[in-house]
Amino acid sequence: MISDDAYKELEEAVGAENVSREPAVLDCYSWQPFANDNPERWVIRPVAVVLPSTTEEVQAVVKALGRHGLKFKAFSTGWGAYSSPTSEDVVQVDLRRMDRIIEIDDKNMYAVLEPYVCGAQLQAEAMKVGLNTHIIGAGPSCSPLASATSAWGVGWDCVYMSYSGRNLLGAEWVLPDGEVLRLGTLGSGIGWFCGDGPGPSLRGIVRGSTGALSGLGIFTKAAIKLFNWPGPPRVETEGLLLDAQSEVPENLRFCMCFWPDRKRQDEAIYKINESELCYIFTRTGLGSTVSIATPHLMKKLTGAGALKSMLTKDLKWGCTFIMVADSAGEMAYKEGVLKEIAKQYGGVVINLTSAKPIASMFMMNFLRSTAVPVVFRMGGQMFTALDRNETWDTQMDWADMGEGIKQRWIDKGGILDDMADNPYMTTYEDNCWAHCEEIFQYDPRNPDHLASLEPIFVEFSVEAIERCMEPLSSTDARLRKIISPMMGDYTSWQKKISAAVDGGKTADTGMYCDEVDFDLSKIDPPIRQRFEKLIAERTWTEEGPPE
Amino acid sequence: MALKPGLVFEVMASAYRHDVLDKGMSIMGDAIDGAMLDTGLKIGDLVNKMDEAQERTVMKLNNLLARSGLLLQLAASDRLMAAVSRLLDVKVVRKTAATVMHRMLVKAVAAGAVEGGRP
Repeated sequence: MISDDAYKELEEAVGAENVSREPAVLDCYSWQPFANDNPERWVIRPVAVVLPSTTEEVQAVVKALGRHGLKFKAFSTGWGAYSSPTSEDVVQVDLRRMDRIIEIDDKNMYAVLEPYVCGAQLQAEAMKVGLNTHIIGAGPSCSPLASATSAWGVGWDCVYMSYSGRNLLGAEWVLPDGEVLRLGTLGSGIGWFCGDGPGPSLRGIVRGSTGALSGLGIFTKAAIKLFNWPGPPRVETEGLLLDAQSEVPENLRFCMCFWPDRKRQDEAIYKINESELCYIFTRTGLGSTVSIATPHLMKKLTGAGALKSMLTKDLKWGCTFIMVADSAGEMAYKEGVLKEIAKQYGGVVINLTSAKPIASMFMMNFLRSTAVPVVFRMGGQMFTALDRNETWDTQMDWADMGEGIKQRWIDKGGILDDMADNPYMTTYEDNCWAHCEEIFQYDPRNPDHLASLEPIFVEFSVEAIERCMEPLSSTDARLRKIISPMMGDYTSWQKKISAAVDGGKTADTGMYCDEVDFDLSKIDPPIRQRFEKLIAERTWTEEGPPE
Repeated sequence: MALKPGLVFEVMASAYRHDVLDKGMSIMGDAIDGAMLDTGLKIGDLVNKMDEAQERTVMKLNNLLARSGLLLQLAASDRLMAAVSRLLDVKVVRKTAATVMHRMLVKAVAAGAVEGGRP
């Protein structure tokens, strides 16, 4: 509940038409089935929603909430339960009125954005001046500011355009007490070009590896690094998703490569990345491609032995990528290098650009990451199992292990059959490090599927910890309480940071540094025993890490 | 002859070595373009038609693949692929291949329409 006094102050801050506590409106924010660990379709309902349009209004809102003992949770473009309240006393701060691209500096290759600018919007504007922006795997409707300041940041273009947090330059940050902190060069009044200094950098505190998901305040503006785009200023496209037909530029190649075994695939992928060939890069199982493009066909293929074997064994080791070039000579060089690598490792390169309608369909689906959300088609819901971003080899180990776990749950009827090999993999900055998450798809109407989610989550988490890796779903306050003491008690440091900037406890820290008990009673005894053994063996003491 | 694991890859590798894959992709592109023009369907519609394939069609294809071990072993031969590649350099052959593929696609789309799509 929100008191009339508090509500009135919010109305004064942003105007009565931009605040609501109507149950029907609030429920629209609460229907967030994706990534809800409950796994209900609904998350905790906010007590009110407020829509500021300026930094000053955000400050006024945050200050008003502090005065009335309420909390805030920011929502820019949203992505499932991650943008939702985690307790009963939270006001949702919906930033959709802050939707301007303030500046694109083509000379210094950055853009200054507000929170509700989405990836597709920024990309379209950047391309006009020969630049492009990193778009995360969640899709082009997501906010680049949100992923740069507050949450993860992987995408198929990471090979060329890095990880969201690495692309954050200056930022304007409304702290939980309502004061504004300007980061990087912006704080010294010398522009937006650098996120670090003069003086100590706060980028590590702002987001660490994952982001505080609004647990440390609200980011109202950010400068994001942009990258070279040698294609046309406007990509002529008709249709959407699988109907999309784009004009494929002369200086773009869309390729699929296959290798006879994992060893040769891995070596070739290192070479391809070291040679700086790719603009977009992913390794996605062919089964997963079939499951998102033709989900009904997938169900029939799972019973077709020879076809299934072809997809999951003969064509298992492969990758898909886009190459672009600033000149015909550069493209000829890249094609030549690719051919050499294929020859060296016995690979096959399929240049899909030669099949115009296919390249034309896939081009923007890859460049704009629009294809990824189609993964929801097969069952209506999906979830994912992430480990720590690391070397390509460790990510391939994670993919192989994940396939095994998934196959067992597919056999038990706990998740949908997508032929098990469904990793979302990419490389960062020409494979300086890499990413793998094992996608699994389920039908939220199926009670067996819902009952499987928690045990699968724990099984993947145990596997990650056994491999000395942090499971990247550590935004879950239950898991954090278990893994933090195994990792130098990192939550205690996050709590200190939170206390330093949020003495009044106005931010919703449920996904940043809160901890709650994990009820492991639903977990299969063998997995629970492995988990308990890890806890006993790896928990740090006051003297430091265990021997 | 049953399908040996890795045989499909061997065929593809041989086709790649002799540029047949690249030439084949171009032919397939022309065939799809032609089918789209004839049927008025978009590429997404064709994908959806594929999605609606009947169980028996999938199994027919599966059985065909399962029994084509000998044929695929032949196809994996470098000598044969080299000959195919030279054939595909001939404009008439390329055009004929695209036309055959294009007609097969149109026929498959029409058959799908008669069957009424997904059960």
